[in-house]
Amino acid sequence: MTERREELDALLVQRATEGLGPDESRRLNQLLIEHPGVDKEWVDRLVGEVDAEWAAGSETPLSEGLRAALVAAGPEPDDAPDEARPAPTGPSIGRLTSWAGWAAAAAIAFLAFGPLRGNDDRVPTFAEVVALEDVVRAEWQPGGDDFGAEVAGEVVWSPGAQSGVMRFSGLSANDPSDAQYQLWIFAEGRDDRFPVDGGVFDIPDGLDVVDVPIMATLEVGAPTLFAVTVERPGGVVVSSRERMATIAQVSE
Amino acid sequence: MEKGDVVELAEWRAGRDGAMTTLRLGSPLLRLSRGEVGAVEACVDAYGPMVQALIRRLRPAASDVEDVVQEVFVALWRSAHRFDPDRASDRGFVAMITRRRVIDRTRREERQPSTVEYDPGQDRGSDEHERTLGRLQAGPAMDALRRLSEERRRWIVMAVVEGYSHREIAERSNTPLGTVKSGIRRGLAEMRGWLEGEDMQEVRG
Repeated sequence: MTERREELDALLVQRATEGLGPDESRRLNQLLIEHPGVDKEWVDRLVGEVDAEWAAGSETPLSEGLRAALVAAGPEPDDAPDEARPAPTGPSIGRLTSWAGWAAAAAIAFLAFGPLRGNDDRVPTFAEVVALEDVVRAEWQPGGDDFGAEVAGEVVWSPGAQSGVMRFSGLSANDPSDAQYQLWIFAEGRDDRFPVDGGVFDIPDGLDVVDVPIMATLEVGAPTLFAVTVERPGGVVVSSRERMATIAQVSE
Repeated sequence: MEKGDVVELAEWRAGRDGAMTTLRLGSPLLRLSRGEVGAVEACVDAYGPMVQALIRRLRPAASDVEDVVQEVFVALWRSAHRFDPDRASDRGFVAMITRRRVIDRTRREERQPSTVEYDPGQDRGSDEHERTLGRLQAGPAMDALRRLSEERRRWIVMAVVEGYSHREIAERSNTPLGTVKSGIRRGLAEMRGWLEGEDMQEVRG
């Protein structure tokens, strides 16, 4: 095991047991990018199992009021994500905790976009990319920056079509005059120092779920990791990676 | 431990080869991910007491336990689709989300997530940590914990269950911080290997 891999595992342990400061989070993200095949949740899962076994001897019933509040805030039945369901193309605002947002995802940045297939030059929907045979899927994880602390969702990408869509929930809305999100795509055979610029985008306020088409500037090939940074308005050519909002690692 | 827990933990152990797929059908978390009627209530009843107990342990002085419980469940509703029964038990997955929310919240409050008032020089001794260990219910994680060397087991119990920071553990055990950190890391890696049946040669090396 290399020294840097040991450092990575040490930070995963610290994250799971006492948390990380901003500098440590940045360092962890840097190491995760250097080690794209690492299971970055192994410590969290293991500690979770210990916690669960410990709690089994200490549980007391919830108060009636708390139980009712939790149930009331839960997702409605049948609102679970349904990949076979076509995603609508207009924005929608739903309950914060409702999964209806997954189906009523708001698509933004419907600008000029590369072809999904052949000469079809319209923007692909999340469901359309998911339906492709070679689709690659990866879940968003917090990247250390506060903007991504509550992020969930996933990114889907088709190497054959060179098209993809990012689906976010919980990613903080940004003020485009102050900062914008920028996607970086790491791929097999590509130097990690020079990931593909996946485009600049914004997250509007008040939306549960946002779909953002990926606007890669170069051929991506087989992606290994998607990273979203917070950058100055208009984006940058080379990111300092100081503000990593979220990352999605493609499973091997 | 209740009967249902035994099934879930058994699933976790046997899940990788898919041998117990049918037993997973009853997991409230999986029912939730399928959008089944009644799954929300089932999740609240199955995991709510555990979430509440963990929060009380991790934030013993806090008066906002119910607020944090609600915060955890909001995160659970969002993250349930990520649950993979081949990689974790459903209770372990929920506990993982709970710990993350507690640490995030505590970090935001600029306090360490210590569950014990720090009193340097007054280590409660190995017996106390063993009593803490004894409170853990029978299960795969506890079995793995018991297989560790006494030192690594004590440090992991202090870090995970009792909530001491690595620095506090080092001071209490009169051990260099780096030694404590590597001991905890290697101990957890050993546990992972036993639970997942991996070759531990690399970890030990």
